[in-house]
Amino acid sequence: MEPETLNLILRIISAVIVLVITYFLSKHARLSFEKSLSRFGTGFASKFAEIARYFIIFMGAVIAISILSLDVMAISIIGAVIFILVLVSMRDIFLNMAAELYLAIRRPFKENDWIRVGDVEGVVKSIGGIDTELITYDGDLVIIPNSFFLRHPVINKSQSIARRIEFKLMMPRMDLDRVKETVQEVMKEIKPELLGDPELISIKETGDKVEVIMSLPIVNLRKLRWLSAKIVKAYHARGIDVEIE
Amino acid sequence: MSISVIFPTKNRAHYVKRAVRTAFKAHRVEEVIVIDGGSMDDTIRIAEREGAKVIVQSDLIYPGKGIAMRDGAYLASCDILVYLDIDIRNVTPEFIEKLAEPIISGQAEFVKGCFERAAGRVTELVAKPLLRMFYPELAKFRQPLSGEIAGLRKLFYKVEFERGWGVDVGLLIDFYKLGARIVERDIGYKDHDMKPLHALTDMAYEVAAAILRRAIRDQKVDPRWAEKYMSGVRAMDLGLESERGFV
Amino acid sequence: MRVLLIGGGHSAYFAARAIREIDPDGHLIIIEFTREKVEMLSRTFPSAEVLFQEIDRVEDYIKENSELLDAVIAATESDSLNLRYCRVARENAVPITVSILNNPLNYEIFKKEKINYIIDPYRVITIQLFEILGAPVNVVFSSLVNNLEIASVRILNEKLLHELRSALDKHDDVIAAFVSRTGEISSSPSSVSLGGSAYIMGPREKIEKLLQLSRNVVMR
Repeated sequence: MEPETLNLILRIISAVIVLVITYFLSKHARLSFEKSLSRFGTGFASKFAEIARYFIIFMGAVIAISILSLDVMAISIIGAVIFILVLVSMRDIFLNMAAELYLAIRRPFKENDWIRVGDVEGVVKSIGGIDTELITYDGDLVIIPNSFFLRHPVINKSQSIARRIEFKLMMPRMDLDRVKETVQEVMKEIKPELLGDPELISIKETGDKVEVIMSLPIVNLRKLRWLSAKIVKAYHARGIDVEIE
Repeated sequence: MSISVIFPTKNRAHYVKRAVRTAFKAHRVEEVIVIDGGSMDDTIRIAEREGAKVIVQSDLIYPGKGIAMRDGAYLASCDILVYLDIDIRNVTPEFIEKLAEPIISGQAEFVKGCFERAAGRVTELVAKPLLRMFYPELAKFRQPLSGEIAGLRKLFYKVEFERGWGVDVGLLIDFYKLGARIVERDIGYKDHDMKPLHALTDMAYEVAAAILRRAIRDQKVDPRWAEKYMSGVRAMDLGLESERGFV
Repeated sequence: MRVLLIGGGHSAYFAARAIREIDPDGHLIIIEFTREKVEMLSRTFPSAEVLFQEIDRVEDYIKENSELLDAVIAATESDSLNLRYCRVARENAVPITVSILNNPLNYEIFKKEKINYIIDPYRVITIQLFEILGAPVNVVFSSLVNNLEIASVRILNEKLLHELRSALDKHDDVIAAFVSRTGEISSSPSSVSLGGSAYIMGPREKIEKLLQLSRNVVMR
């Protein structure tokens, strides 16, 4: 066998060995990254580990090519261009990963919290690697990309299990004692749906109407509409038409 | 129709990978459930890694086979449930397909698997004589205690699961009482560990108790007689038998 | 509050009693799968709405009523059912989802499913035995609702006492009560001698750090 052929075979064998070692190294690195980064969320850890793995394989391929003594310069340039293009195309993924990391470390909200972000307000149904699902007051499912949370402030309204909601009722002018009496009756009627006692905040006359403000401790905010209807119905049964603001 | 395959198990790390993978290969299988009886080995970890849904049975009593089977049925979401022992060394996807086939074809709602071997000692000496006495229609089954069964999921919510070894015969009787069509399917040779003789005493007692409880429920036997008989079996177990009869 | 309690066994009975105690006028709905138990529960909890449902109809009930339900408490005798029902409640954004475990070994499985609150009724066995048998550290209470944790630490050597004092000095949000060997209780670490215990209370991560510190000192 000619020395040149032998040399080529040796180089091919070396390149293959480098590739094999790189493959196993990348696999090991992926597992290590997954394990060590799992505290930031499994989704984030696995994505980061996957990117690290491809990076190691890419580097191994460059080394293998250099062993084969091909035109390393040209191949490296092509490789670098491809790498940059891949990075650019993965911009959104990186943005979402940054957002996921932010959500994992900062924990601005958790599942079942009532939050407001941008124009959307609702209960957090699930926090995923790419997006977060909210259920709004109207029962609609809204899917928000996690990167949205990097650009918009989050208001977390779930300070405790129940939130106090103020209801303003407008009813026709009548004797204030009668108003107070009906408010107490209606509050008693809706109490089984609340966590704690409803409170009467104020009663005042405004023009030809009476304005009543009451505060209700509510756990499930999606119940608001149903509760409003129940209050209107309770007044209607007493022959009083009310409007709720 | 989709199939859930359920494996009640405990400390069977060596078998779980093959069992779960084989189950997923069977036609129409959409989920595999491993119900663990409190394993100390890697059974749970391996089952989860292989994509099985895993839960530990609600009560860690021995024998808790019935509780494991009940929890499996309650966790499942497919139309047909297929139960298999996890330690069948020669398990193939065909085992599952053969068990589910009569249900898919509309021929039955409950299928009992049977094997190419003589029925066990508890089957021949306890289950069959008692079934012949109280449920003669079910005495025709070659292996009424077989744990390889398939059935419509919704029907499993209407039957009573015995907690221990009596569960298989209990389900057979309850499905029969529900009016379900039951067939027995030969699923070939089953290569698995046999129970030692001493372990069969408890099993025999529980099988007898399961049949008798149902015979009482279905008014096939005087409850006072059955209770005396059952306490007698317990007394024999404890060595309390006296000359006057059971104490 | 409108609470759906599922199950009619032992755990469900105590859950129903607790709900009634905290919210006597609340809307309590109990779902059971056997008619005999439904009758019994109706007699035991006359102000509750007790419903008979088939096992695989409960999920539909939760979905249909999720807008009005404030809490779903799964307390059946099967952890499989508890997991199923809590999963549906969570998916339908019921604000409070509670599962009462039958088998504590299922804790991690439920946690992975992101169930809000997982109650392990058997946890008390460990806590009480640790206290009776004098375990070096014992997590006595860990709140499911907020970040509070209470733990006890046995003061086995001077070094541990010293480390504990300096750690308590550093953290304003960690407070402690000390129990001497003779049973006297004091808030001052100086009154504690070896063999006594410290009950520390504060944010979970800080308590865990202190416990780790104690474990390290004991190990040495």
